[in-house]
Amino acid sequence: MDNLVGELAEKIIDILGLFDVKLEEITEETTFFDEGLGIDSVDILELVVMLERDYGVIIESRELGETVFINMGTLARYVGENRSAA
Amino acid sequence: MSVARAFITGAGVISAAGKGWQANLRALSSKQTYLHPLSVFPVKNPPPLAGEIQSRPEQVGMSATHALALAACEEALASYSSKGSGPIDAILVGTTTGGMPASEMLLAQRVSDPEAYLYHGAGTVAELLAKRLGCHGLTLTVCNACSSSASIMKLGLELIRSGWAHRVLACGVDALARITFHGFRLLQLIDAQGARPFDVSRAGMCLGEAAAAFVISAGQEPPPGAFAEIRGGGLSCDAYHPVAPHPEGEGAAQAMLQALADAGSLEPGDIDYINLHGTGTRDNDASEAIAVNRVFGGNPPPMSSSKGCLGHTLGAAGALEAAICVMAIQEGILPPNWGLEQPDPELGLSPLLEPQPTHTQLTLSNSIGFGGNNASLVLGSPSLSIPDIKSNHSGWLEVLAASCLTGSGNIQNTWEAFRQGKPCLGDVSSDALSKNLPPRLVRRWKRLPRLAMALTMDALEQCPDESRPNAVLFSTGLGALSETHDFLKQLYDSDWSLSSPIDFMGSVHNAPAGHLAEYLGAKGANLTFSGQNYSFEQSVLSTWLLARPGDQPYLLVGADEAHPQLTPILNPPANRDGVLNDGGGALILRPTKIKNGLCLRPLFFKGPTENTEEAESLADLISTQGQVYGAIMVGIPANQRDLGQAQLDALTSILGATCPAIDYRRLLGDHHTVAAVATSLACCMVKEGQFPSGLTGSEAKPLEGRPLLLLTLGEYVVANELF
Repeated sequence: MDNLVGELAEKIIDILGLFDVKLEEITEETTFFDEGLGIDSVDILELVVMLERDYGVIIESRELGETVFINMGTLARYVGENRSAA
Repeated sequence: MSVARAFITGAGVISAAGKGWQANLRALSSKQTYLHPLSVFPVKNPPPLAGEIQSRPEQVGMSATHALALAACEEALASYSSKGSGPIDAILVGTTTGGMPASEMLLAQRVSDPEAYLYHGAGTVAELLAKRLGCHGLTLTVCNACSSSASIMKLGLELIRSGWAHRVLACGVDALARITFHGFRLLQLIDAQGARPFDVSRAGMCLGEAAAAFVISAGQEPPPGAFAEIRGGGLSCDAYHPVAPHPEGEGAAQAMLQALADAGSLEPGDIDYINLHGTGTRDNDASEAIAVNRVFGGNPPPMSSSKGCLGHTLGAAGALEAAICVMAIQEGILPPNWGLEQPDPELGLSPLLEPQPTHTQLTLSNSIGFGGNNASLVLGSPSLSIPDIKSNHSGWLEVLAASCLTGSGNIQNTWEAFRQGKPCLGDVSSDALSKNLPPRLVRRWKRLPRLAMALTMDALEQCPDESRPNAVLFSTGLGALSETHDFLKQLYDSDWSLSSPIDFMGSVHNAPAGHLAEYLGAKGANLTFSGQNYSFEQSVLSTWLLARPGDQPYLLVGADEAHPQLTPILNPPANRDGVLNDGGGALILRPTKIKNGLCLRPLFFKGPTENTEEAESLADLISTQGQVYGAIMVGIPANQRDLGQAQLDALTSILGATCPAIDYRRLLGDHHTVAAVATSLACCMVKEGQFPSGLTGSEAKPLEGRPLLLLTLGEYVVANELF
């Protein structure tokens, strides 16, 4: 789980260009908006594409997205439970 | 002096409802929708509903966009010539993707012959219309996402009011394209079941394709058979977010209020019908509902969105929906809000559920687009009397700041090289590009928006805070090539499945202008021009058309990026001897009635031409005005060198000009917006007061207080003056 948080955090920093965020500062409790990573809904859609491409995890509704993108922990849990075997 | 009024004297439409005005008129008065499963290109899942034209006109060798535009314009001209008089002297096009429906497949097939992409640029639509329809005059191409063609209607109105044109052909057009479909799909904005604007269960938009064209004629009284009058227009920017509308509809409300004021101080209560933008997305409809209720005090007139019937036709939407307003005025029938069954109680709007016969004299049409761009139009019955509107166009644009970026660096470095006659070719260095740009601000941006922002930062440094611009006019020949390339490449590599929504958002031509507005908090007009080699010149003329003395300053930025894969095939001259060339220029301009300091003014814009006739007309105009210039800076596109040189020779021989001239593209390169660089350098030259010795080859020539003539020659002949 911790590994997955770290792995996802690395990808998120790279894909979204969050080079002012230190990898070691990202924890399970880190949120996505405002005081968290400070990203917005378009960034979330970018992550949705990454999840499908890299993990085979599909998030195709706003409702589902709202339950997955609460914080890094909820994201990692959802990916861990739903990633394709490959 | 009273300004001329702008009457619609010809009209043509092609949409999912059919080809021709009558076919579309019939669609208005029924609840039938014209959405069908998307079939023009294959998609993976069951195809979503779309407003696809069932029998598309075909034109060999060009994209569907061009063919649609031709069909609508031919109809508009046919209906006009039966009662109008005089030739068209301006062609205005609003589009988002231009030739992309063809290019995206050529690129997928790795076609690398530049000849295959001759109709790629958005500006080629207007150029093709001008050539095919035999129209000579100016062309303007606005790429403002979904408010593109409402914006050109406002510019058409100002061309008429200012006397720059007397008979304008204005066309909004977009054909269904894979890039837009997949972009909106990846942004999760598409409802496969079709749009249900303002419905409680609405779940997104559906795409469509269309072209709608108008002939707009100047007159003090309505000509016989006039369809309607364009009474006024309002342009605003949310300056809030690249794709999301302002949650309180602030910009949309401003555009409506401005349009009402522009139409002769109308009150909201004067409006009989509103054609809503109403895409069917949760956020857009919510934002527009708040804006409408704010402007109309919670008591708006009958209203509807047509996107549940015809789809969202993007760059065509503003013109198509203006056509619906004209039909409502002519026929007294208000269309229903197709797709709406149960209005969302949270929106507090009650759009029409059924077609409604109503005597209609004044209508308002809203367009809201990516980049936070809003455009509203007031269209009225031609027989209504209107208050006298006085001409208040600005005489002059005072240059408060000028910047540029080239292969030589910023304006100081570039001017130093240029004045010595040294080439400033190559691309802008990453150091110059990244200067002053906060990493968080630009984290999602690739080359073009960074260029635009770096130019803006440099210009802002020269300006006091109180002169901060409130309007942004951006110009680019080819748009954001890096984002476009990367978005398409990922789609190709994933068999049209996955790509970056951020790249899609950035690939839209007006994305950089939206970023600039957001950074500046610039809530005035926000327009992006894409007219090939004449893009920047179009933005100068349009600034003059929109500017009023007393307005806050206008920011003009012209920029094009060099891209290793795309530039060599889309604009080969910008790849001179294998060296890619890019850059741009920025000006901050303050409109003034009286000439004050360094001032820029548009003088002439005509084409297309294959000979020296337009250059001779320009020479006649200059002679008539008795103007004598201190120097000429001329840009001749590399692929039109012989024609441009002949035009320059004709011009100088008529004028008997003895002033020095510099063919600046030889030194500055051939990207589409190099005129923006040249204009900034011209400001340096006027400030220095002499034509430098490095450019004459002998000694410097004093300008002796005379203005500088800035020319762009070739297919179009364009002249601006710098005093």
